[in-house]
Amino acid sequence: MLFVEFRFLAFFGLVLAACWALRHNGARKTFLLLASYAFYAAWDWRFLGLILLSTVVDGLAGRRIHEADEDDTRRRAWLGLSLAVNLGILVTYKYFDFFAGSLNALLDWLGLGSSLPILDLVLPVGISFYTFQTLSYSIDIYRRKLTPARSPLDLALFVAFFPQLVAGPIVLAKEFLPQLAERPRWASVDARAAIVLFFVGFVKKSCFSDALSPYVDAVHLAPDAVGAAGAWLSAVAFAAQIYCDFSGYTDMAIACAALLGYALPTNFMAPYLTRTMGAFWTHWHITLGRWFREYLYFPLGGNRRGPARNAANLFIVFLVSGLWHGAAWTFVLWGALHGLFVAAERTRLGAGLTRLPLLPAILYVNLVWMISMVIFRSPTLDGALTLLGTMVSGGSAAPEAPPIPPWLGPVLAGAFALHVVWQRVDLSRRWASLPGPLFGLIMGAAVAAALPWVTADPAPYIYFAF
Amino acid sequence: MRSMLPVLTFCVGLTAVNQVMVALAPLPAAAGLRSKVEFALEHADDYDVLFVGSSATMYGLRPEVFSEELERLGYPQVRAFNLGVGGMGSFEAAQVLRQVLDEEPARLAWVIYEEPLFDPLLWYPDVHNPRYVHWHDGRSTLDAIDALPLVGSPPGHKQEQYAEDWLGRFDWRRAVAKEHLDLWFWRASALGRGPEILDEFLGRGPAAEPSPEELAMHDGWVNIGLDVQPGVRQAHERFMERSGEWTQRLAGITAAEANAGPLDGRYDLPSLNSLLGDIRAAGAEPLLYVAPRGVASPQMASLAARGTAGEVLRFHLPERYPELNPLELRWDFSHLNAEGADVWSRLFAREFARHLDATGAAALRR
Repeated sequence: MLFVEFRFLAFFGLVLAACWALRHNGARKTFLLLASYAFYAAWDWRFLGLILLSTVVDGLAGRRIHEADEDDTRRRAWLGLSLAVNLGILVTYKYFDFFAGSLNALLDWLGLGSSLPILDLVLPVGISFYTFQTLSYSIDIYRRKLTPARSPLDLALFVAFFPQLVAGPIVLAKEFLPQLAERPRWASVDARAAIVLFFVGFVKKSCFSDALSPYVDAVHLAPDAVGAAGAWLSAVAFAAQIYCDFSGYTDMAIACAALLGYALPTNFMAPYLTRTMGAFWTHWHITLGRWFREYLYFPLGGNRRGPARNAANLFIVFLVSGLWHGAAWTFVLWGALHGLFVAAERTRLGAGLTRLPLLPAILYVNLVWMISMVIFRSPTLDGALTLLGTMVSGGSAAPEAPPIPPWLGPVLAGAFALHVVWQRVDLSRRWASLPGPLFGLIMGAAVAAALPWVTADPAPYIYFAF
Repeated sequence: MRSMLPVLTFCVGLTAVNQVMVALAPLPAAAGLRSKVEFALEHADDYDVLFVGSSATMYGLRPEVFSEELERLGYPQVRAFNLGVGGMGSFEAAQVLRQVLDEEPARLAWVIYEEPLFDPLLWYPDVHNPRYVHWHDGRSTLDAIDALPLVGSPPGHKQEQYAEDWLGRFDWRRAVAKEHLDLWFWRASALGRGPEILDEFLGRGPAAEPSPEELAMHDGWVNIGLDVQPGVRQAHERFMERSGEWTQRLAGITAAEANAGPLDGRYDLPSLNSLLGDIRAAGAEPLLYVAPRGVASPQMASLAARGTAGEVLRFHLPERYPELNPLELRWDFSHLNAEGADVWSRLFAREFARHLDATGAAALRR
């Protein structure tokens, strides 16, 4: 059930009405939890078991860690259990085949012969997101930054809350659990701002991302046939597509949560207008960067152990971040590339990059991003290298190259306008603060104007695959 | 009340812009529908007679020959336009005709309408094709849904699909009704029409096919021998290979028509009456016919026998119109060639003149 499907709108409408009709906080949370499970079951009910397992293990581990108080051995043991179960599930479903396949290839290459089994498991949707969320719960209790959830219901809702269950933002337990203590009040909900955000997210995904995806898909299906212009255009188109896709989802997730009375953290802040790659990562998928900073970069030592160790730490974090996105060498290379640039910007040699004038700086960031995203998007390394080679060498297109759709220009311009104008001028806030009748009039007109651009057969969100 | 004001203005904004979008969305170009309808709307006042039907009409009736023959029979200066479009069923044809009638055509005296079977089933696997979407205005959608109880079974190739639909599990007709409502929503919201609207706005839309000049030259008739669509050529080749089956087909028609009983409860009389009412309200007279498509039409036989819709000209009957059945007049099993079109158009004019003589109806509205 995608957020841009009409059945989701119906589902959400019902949940919204029922939620605000329920007066008792416990009943409200129970209903929301059941709705969240139903939402997830609409994808694949079989994987509900994994969510329940994570919830039960973390609930138990969190409580035991808290109760162990001064007994560090017990605390570590329970944290170890939480990490083992959560990461075990993630590794089994997401990475086992990748590592086994890579090891098989390596051993074959060495002539040692190997036949590690390939499990061919279906990747449960949203597993990387909710696993990171549940890990934050037990780790924060271990670090004494959080006390266990008041009730198993609160914890279960934190893990499964449907607006952010399958593709974030990655919410930390310490910022979400306190919101569950009391029933939200409708008076404190900025409904207009939420409606605007939902609409903008809908437009980003349904009108822009889904319009760009067929051309990008076609280019990556036939990288050999594409000429330089097509390759560059598809790189620009994919940069626009993934922004509209992911930030569109996030906008809708934040808006849905807001309408239900809960606040989710911001995930995007005009990333394509940043001036360094380091800054880019504080404006793109902000909650993932925050998670890695808090639970990997700082434990590795952050920047406290000298420049060399800092560079190594950054590189490790981005390498893991690459793997978080997908179990393939293209993602590893993509992560490594970002790690290199972010680390390089902190060296004396690379510091020049951080002092570029505004436009060259933005161009630098976008160029690195677009080129790295060719690797990210390609199903194979060969395909990525072919496209990058064409982009550099300026090859011409073969007759079977996918034609460039005539409306690609307007769609890219629209996506650009949404990215720049919307966030820089804060149109969302201005729109939401208009007098009610004018707000309604413009919203109605905007919905009617957007509908002809809605793709009737929406593609799954790109980040659902992670 | 004040809290409802934003909702009200939302509806106003939505409706106003939606109406503009729907108006900007071009008609479907497939099978020449767009150029024919646009031409008919633009020249609505130029014609006395309108033929509405499928490809059998589009390829088979030459208005210029029809008029010429009528003149010879004492009905001069009758101008007819062929609004036949390939694959056009009754609901689509009725919707297209209503668009033309809404223009209040000044001269229109007769609407000659092909075989109104009013089949509410959606046969194409790609339900959201532009033509299905286009004919699903509110009225046609409701008419089609109303007609569903009259249908005995769904198309074979869609049975599985309907059985899997949660609505279809109770009754497959609900799944079809859902399809109709879905199509209505697509049309009413102009869903997904943005690229076409933009192309149209920038003057990059597809070229009109057939061109207005071609339509004007033959008053809407299309010479099947000059139609470059691959399907047309393939149908001709298939017919040439299996032309021996033609005689059997004709025998089959005779047998099926002989067994036609009274009009049963499965025929959609309300849709027919509504169509006839609309034609008469526009100041024209309806006349129904069955094209020589090489298939039987027992329902039209029953309708003709019942007499509700007046006379039904049944050109598919081999023994009544043997001059339409020689192999050399046919392009394929369903269509006449250009020579056959000449023959049928003259024959049609003669039957029409006879009908005028017999009913005493005025041929023209001047």
